[in-house]
Amino acid sequence: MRTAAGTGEREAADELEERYSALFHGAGIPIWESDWSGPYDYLAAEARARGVSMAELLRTEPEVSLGAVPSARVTLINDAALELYDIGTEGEILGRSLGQRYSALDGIIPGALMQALAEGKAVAEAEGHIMTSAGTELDVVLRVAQLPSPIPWKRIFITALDVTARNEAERRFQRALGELAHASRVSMLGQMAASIAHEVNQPLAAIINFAESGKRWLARGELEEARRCFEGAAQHGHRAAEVVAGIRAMAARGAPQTVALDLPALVGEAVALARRELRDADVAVRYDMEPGLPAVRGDKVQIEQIVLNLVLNAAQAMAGVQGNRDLVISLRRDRDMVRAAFRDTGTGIALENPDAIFEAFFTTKGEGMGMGLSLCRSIVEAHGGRIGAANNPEGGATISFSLPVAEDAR
Amino acid sequence: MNDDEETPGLVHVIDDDAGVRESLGQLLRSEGFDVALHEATDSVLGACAARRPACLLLDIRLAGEDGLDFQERLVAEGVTLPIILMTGHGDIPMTVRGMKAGALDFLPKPVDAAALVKAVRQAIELDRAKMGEEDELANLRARYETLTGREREVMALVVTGLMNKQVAGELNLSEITVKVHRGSVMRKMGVRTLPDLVRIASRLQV
Repeated sequence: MRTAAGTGEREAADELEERYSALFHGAGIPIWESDWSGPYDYLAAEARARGVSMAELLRTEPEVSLGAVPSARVTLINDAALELYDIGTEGEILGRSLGQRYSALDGIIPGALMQALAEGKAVAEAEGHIMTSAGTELDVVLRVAQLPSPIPWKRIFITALDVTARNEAERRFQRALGELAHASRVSMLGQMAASIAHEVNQPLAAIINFAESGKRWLARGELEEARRCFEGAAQHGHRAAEVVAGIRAMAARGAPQTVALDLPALVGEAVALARRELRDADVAVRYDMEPGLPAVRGDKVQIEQIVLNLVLNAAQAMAGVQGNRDLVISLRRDRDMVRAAFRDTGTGIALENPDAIFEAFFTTKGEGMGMGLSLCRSIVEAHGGRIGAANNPEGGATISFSLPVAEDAR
Repeated sequence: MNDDEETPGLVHVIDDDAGVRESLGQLLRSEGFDVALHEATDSVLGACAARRPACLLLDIRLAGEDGLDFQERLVAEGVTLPIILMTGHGDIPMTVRGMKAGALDFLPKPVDAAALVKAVRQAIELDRAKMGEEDELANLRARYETLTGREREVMALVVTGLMNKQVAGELNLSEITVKVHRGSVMRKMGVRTLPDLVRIASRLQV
């Protein structure tokens, strides 16, 4: 009876196994099973050596996972997964690791998954890039689940979702949004420029007319009339100057709302906002921040706008260059100021006087209005700071600005 | 009306910007023109009534009534002063409209002093010539008024090319009587030859 029952159980188990196998291989999404006990042992040993938990180790040193990945073994893989990786037969991958398939850009993606498992989570998800046999890079979302097993991480069930097309669509959507925003900015600036041109042209026309009349009255010896003309010319010269002063004040939006700002944190936030553009332009950002910097005095929104502007500017300056695209952001204390420098490896500034890039309407971009850097200067100067540009001796340019240290931080 | 030659032309400057308006006034005065400055179009119509050579220097874009609408209203009111339009940047469609409505000239702003003076001089001379013609016509009309009914009948037939004899036949008069009437028509209208009389008749549309 026992035997019969045992046989019945075995038959039931076999049937279940068959069903699982049919589902596994027939599924239209890439699935594989992997034995991560090797990586588990590796990580456990590393954690012990440092006297920390595995979860703690992966959190503080995610790169340790790079050493663990090669000892993973694929035990089962379905056709959809083989197709995703562009692998001919399962024989080519069974018993091996898919570790080298993870793009060098984010080799620690498996690390993020391992960290989640080490933290005791049953399932975990991470987005990253993989490399197919043909060398194509794909965007995927990997999802892992631990199947029951007496040995930790013995049976890891992995599904992959190819999100390349979705991401590409999203990138295109974001780009279209960006272009739209740019177009509306340009059209707004165009209207503004036309109205400014009108406001300035009127007094200019008056000055020219008065000067011409003055000349004629002088030729006729009518000194009193001539004097009146020169008075008119001077008066309207002042009027033109007032219009220009008004525009500058408007551009800097009056007195900034100043508070004490943590500049390193603010720079971090601005770079995070530009993350997508930096990734698309393949720009690596490095920081070089002096520790213990004092707070600066400034308007958070305006300063963030400047940083974002300079970061995007650097990314655009490097868009066309071969070789490294590095943006180094350094923060240094300089007496009563904190100086932020944005050093890129771009095309540099092809001008005798690099500071001319801060002039309004200066632009090297086909579709630019040349207001960005000019606005940066207006804002920095309204904060009592300075902004400057220089070409680097080894190529590229550095744009830096300084802001005064907040009084209570001196 | 021969003293017109001595009368300086009057330029009505219509611009809503005080600086531009006053400086244009100075420029034109330094060239010997009389000027009348107008901030808007309301005051212009009444000022145009004076019988002296004049022209309008009109900004195409005005704060109140638009320069072009004003131009069309002037035409409707029968004011025939030459108009020079001043146009801003990119006002090409408005300029075309203004020229079609009969503007004499247009000057892009800021206006070039020499071009302005030249255009204004031309406009004033045009108006002066037109005024001379009008005076002459009024003069002829006054002369025609002095003709008797019979004299007008004779004149109407003579200018169609009929001989005195044929005129006499038409009017049932003797040839000698026609001759007398004809002589007094020539005298009263101040002409010596038949072709001159024909020209006058055509100008008077009689």
